[in-house]
Amino acid sequence: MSDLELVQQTLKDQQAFYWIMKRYETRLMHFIKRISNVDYHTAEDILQEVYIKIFKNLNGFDQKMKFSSWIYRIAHNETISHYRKMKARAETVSLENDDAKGLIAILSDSFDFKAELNSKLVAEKVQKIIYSMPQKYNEVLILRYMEEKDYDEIADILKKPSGTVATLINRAKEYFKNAAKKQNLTNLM
Amino acid sequence: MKDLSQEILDTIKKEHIKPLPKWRFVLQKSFIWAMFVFCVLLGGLAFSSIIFHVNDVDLDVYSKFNSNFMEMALSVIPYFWVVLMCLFLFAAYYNFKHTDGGYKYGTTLILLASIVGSLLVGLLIYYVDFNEPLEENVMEHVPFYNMMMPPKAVIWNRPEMGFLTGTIKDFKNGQEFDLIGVAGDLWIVNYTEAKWQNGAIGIPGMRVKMLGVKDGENHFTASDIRPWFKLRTVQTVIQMQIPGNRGQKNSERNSQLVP
Repeated sequence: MSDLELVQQTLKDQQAFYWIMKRYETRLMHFIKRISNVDYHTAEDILQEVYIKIFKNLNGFDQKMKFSSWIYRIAHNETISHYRKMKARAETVSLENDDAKGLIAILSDSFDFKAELNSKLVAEKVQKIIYSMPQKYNEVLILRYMEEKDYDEIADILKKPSGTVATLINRAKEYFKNAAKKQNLTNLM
Repeated sequence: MKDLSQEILDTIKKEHIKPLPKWRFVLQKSFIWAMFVFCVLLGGLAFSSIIFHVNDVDLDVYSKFNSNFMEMALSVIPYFWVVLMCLFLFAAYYNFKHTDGGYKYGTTLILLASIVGSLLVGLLIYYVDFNEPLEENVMEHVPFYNMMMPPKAVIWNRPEMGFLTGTIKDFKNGQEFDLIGVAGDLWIVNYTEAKWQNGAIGIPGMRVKMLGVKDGENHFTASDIRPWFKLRTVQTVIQMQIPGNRGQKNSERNSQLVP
């Protein structure tokens, strides 16, 4: 069953919403933790708010965009809103080592990392860089390289023109590279 | 094992949460589009007023008071309307950005489209002669409006320097007419040598501005008579100045006109 069919079904019978939630639960939990760096329980609370908001606004879903982009947009906005309320981010890291390694691998064509080297240490440094980046940069990197969204999807999620998204990704990569050099990540190459 | 999705669904059921009705979203989206269109229209209105005021400037007179073009340009800018137009353009941009697909377009493109829209609407309003009644209404109802506009009345109310403005009261003997000055004072104006410029036609009730010489106590010999606002057609003069005569035939109206 497609997302759209599930949405139509939910509007007739709310039980069908369970399958929408189940389909996106893991992905959205990861996304919330990645962009906010909150702990698991807080991420669960945010996700609950996100799902309730999605449920309430199902009739407002614009079918010109992908349903996944729409729910990622709501998750993004809700998480940022929660984050702003909490003011500061916790120091604990929630990027998994695999996340960091994935990011390195993707950026490595321009950065020339050897991904197999001391991955834990590299991962920690990458996490530190990601969370020290301005929000506008880290969210595009997370969406592009961890959530594997294309430019149009990122544009729909962040409500920015595609051209702006492309520029932000390039600047974020540049920022990442410079920060990586300062973290002596080049020594690991 | 905990099933988060089931817990959320239970919460939804327990708290009787329902999807908001579709009409609410339709209304919300329509309202944003309507506000965008409304702001473009108002921007057009402001733009038409800018054209109206800039076109109304008597360059030959203003150049006498200013030493260079920049100084003159700054003295004739209708700041009130320029500020208003910028506000409406920004509001149009803001509303468009909040439409469903508004975020897909860059700031420059949206602003450019809003400006072009306002420009077209402005030209339309200007050419249907809506600006003079608008101007009169705004002058009457907007506090401090005159302070935000070029000091036209001050410039044209200096009889000692050869500038006089007021409203024609009536014609006396084919050579003079009575004029009520801006301060309510009565002037006798000799117009035998005067050129009637910019569509000015002598009819009682018409507000005029004049160049000439003050040659006696409340007596002025005009060399140049212009309507207070530049008018494009005789028809406009008649409609604007003597509304009571609207039912008359053109030939009857024209028999009252001087020269």
